[in-house]
Amino acid sequence: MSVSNNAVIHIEGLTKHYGSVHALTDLRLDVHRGEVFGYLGPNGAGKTTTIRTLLDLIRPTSGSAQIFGLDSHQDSVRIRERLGNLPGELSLWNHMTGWEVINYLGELRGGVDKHYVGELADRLDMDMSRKVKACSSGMKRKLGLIQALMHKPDLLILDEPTNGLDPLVQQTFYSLIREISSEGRTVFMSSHNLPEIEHVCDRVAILRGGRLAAVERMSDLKKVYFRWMTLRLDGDAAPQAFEALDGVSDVTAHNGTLRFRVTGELDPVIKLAAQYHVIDMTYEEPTLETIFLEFYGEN
Amino acid sequence: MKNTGVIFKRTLWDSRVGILSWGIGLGILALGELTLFPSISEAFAGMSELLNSPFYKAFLGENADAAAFATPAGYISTYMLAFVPLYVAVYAVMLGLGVVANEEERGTLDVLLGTPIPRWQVIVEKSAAVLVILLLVLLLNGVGALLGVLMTPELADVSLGRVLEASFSMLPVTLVMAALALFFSTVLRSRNLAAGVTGAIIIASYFITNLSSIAQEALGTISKLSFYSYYSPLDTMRGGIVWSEFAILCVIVAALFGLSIYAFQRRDISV
Repeated sequence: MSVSNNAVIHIEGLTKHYGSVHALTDLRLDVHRGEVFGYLGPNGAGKTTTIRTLLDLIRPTSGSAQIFGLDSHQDSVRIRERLGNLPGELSLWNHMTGWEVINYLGELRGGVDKHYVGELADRLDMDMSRKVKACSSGMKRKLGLIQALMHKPDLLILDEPTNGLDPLVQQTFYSLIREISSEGRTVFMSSHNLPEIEHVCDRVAILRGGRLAAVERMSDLKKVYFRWMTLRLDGDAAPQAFEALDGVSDVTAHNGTLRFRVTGELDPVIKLAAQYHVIDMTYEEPTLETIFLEFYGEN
Repeated sequence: MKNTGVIFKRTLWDSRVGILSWGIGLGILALGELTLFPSISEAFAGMSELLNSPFYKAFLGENADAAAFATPAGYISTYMLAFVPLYVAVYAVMLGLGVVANEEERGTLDVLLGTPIPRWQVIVEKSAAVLVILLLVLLLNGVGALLGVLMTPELADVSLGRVLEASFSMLPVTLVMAALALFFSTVLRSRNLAAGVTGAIIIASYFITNLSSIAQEALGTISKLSFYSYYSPLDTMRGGIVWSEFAILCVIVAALFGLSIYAFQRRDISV
């Protein structure tokens, strides 16, 4: 098996079946050093199965995975020394405080930089003295992120990391991910939320029904990434003016309301709309499935 | 390894309330029962026919003997050595399930196994903590029994060393209970199912062993498969720990422990 020198994660024919349920079938994937890799798919697509196999929590029916060039099963302990993990359905010890959780997990890692943990807690606005049982789901998620980041791992595997985080903390999380990437560390994060992946990822894999449907650079996917925009204007607007803009299509006008599809940057649309008296503006994110069909429909 | 002992210490610390409540509770029970020796043994003195009935045999086994019951050794073997492991069974099974099943069912095992520790280390360290916890609980029970002996003139002939030895003799039988719970939780992957199967085995083993004293022909062979058959409270009180039986129970514990590690190393962790 040849592994690219740059591949932090190398997955070769990974398959996991539970009886007649095919959770994952013949997955082949490389994730490179310093990359922020998005792992996208609807619920039940096999994202968590992939992650749990990489972490050696479940064993593949066939195929294998290498992390840092080491076998994910045979060398699991050595891999986990350099890996930070945030499970999708995070459970922590309810009777412990945030600090107790970190101290416990830190001791299992042979010690932890408490100053850095304090910094992370400050940035994520986490009260570490609170008992886990008294934490909201968002606070537990923050604690989960802190334990995943606290030892500055070379590889972060995050399963739906922003689930339950409020928008402000999500922004902090995106900053942290960008910092980690700039330090040459690698992030593998699953999500079913395309805008989130769009924020931080360099490449994205799309999983459907346990099979890898596509691996694309985010910049390529963005070319077809569109939104539906609706503008309610005070007075009539000329649909032709909007239609003439790059990336705008399918314009319809009715009683001062314009609805159209925008692909790429919003800037030209905003500048044109600013010439009118805008009463309301809304836009809808497309589903992952729609983007996927769009991408492969056009290619 | 730099992380050796972390899970062991954590498990002990998290069990401190259980150790104290079970240990002190059983200590007070032993103290109370032993100080009541004169009145209870007298009340049972004329009940030899009743004690020989199958009902009492099923519950007390070889201890259902009025003559023996009237002696300090027989009394202590019944009230302390026969019953205490049954009470401790509940706690031992809880501890056995606590090694893997509780963390797995709560989902905390995913976080624990996200750190650089091998799976076997989780079982080894938590099981070592279970051993210490049960030892402490039985020790506190033994301290209560010692006080009971000291406070009861009718038990003046009972050796204090023998009382402590008797407390220690309960360790392997309670460890078997914990090891059964651990084994079934690693194999069945369901906490409730493991608790049910373990409970059924403990109850079946207890009654098969006791009933075999009155139905030797029918149950003689099957009673050899019952782990309770290798625990003889009356013999322990009369002549000290029966080391051959003690060793057999330790081998059962070691086998269940080894099989648990084998099964846990090879299977998927439940979500």
